[in-house]
Amino acid sequence: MSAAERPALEVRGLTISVPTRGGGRGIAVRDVSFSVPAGGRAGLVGESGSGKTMTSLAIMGLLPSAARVEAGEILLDGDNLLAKSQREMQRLRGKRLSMVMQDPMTALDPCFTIGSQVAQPLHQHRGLSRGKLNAAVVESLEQVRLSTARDRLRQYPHQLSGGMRQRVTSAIALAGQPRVLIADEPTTALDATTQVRYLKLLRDLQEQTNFALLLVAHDLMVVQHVCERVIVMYGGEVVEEGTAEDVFNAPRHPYTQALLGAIQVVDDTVTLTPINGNAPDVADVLPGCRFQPRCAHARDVCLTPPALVGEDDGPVTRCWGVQQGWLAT
Amino acid sequence: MTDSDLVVLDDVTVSYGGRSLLRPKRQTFAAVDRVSLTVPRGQTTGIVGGTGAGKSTVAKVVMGMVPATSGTVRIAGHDVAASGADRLKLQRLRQVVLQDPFSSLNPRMTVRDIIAEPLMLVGRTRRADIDARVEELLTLVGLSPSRAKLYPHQFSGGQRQRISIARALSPSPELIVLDEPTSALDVSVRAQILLLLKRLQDELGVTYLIISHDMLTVAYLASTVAVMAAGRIVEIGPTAQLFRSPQHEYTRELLASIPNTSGSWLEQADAQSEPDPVPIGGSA
Repeated sequence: MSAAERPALEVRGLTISVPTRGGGRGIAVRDVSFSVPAGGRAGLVGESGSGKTMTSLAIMGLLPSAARVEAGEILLDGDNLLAKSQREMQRLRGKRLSMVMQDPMTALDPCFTIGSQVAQPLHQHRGLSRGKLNAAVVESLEQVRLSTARDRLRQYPHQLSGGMRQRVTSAIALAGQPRVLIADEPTTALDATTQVRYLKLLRDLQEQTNFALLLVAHDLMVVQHVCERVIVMYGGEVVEEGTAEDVFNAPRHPYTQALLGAIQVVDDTVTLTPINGNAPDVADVLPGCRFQPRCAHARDVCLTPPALVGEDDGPVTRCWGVQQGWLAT
Repeated sequence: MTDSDLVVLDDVTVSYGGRSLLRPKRQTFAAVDRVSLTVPRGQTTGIVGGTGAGKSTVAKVVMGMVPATSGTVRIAGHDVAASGADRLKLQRLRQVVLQDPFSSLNPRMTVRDIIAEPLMLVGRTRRADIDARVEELLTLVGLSPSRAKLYPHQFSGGQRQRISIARALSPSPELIVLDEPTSALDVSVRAQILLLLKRLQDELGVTYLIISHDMLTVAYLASTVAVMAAGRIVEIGPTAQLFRSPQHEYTRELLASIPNTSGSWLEQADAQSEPDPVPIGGSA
């Protein structure tokens, strides 16, 4: 593959195990593969326990010590991150690979001013000297559309609202001009009105500066507005992948369909169609399809594990019903 | 007040602050600013608003967890500020379901004990009596009574929220305050809990006061919605009407921010940071 078409980030066959309460180990992420093209936007969607956060932490090299990568590769511009030492990852984080976390209050240090926290990565990754630093900090804060940026340098995190804090963490994450930015549930801690503003900013920033964006979120509705491609995870596996348009307008996997139909607004009335049961636990040993116990369409064949099947560049689905043609899409 | 209103808030203000070691100059901040609201019996009244709008403070005042600085709150005619026998009566009348099903259940108590605890309020102390009621409640919220001896950590988030609901129902209250009851839950589980709450209301006739930042949750349950911003109710009306023709600018922004299928959802948004948070005592 030539460098021009090589994706900025590629995850291949990633499998992660975690200890379970019984003393054994369970598979939290199973054979997950996807890629984010250079300058593209992909969304990783799933509920709690789907393995989406484990996947994003593995990419950052920040997995909790109890978790273990059993198989797979994570390629950043073709460079396998799993083969790197902690020291090498430390140097790389914030520069080639960066992350925006869920809670902007705990991501910022309450004891330091906004100005100094943004200045630190600018100095470290871009080697800016003291004289140029001040102007660069203001420029970064203006880039994330923080109002009256100049007046904020001496403020502390507690003086800003949640949405403003998330803008500051974004400025910090982008200070090293990374190739890939992972945003893990960046709006979950924010109000509805603030969420829209931040997502608009995130997409604008991506279009202007052309990093590859991996947006990790639980809300498919939100992700399809921001991203070009969507990867849906359930119970540690990828169950569907396709363009945002395909996955959203013509979801194929029963889980994706049920997720979109769970809470809908039709003619100003909210209608609910819940999915029965609960998401599988890591320790649950399920034969076959992970969604089968909750699936309204399940047949006997679903007790053997389905593969992820689809055309190149087209939508791919992990579902017997879709593959054997007996499930209406 | 009429008999059909269970809860009546009359001109309620809750102020925080005052003089302290770190703030020698007296500064106060009204988290709730002259709010009047009635909650009709057997129905659901919703309060929506962003962070710092004062909606959770309203819930706390109704639950008696925070005193009103001025104004009165009455539940079925009893003043929430009362003490003694009246207070005990109030405890039986009102219960609460909180947002986080992890921290709101005591990890060292079994589900049976958690659900049985409020039964002391109604003087049910016979063991067989309590066991029968716990079994009845678990069935009511869709959990198997055989799991009564387990601890909260052995349940998923949605199941824990069912336990919270069973606990709230146990002394047969007239009012349940639902403070963000579905915010910590996954979308697929959220619908289950909302349907459960609706069914319980239909079966038991209990009154809900629901507080949430999620418009859809409130819209599904509530017949009347109050929109709060900066401590005040800026708009109130029947749910359908509020959805169809919002009057206040903030209500319109709230409605526009609900993720929807429209291609322009993100396009219409402003990437600029939101206005400054309300300054506390004007000193932020």
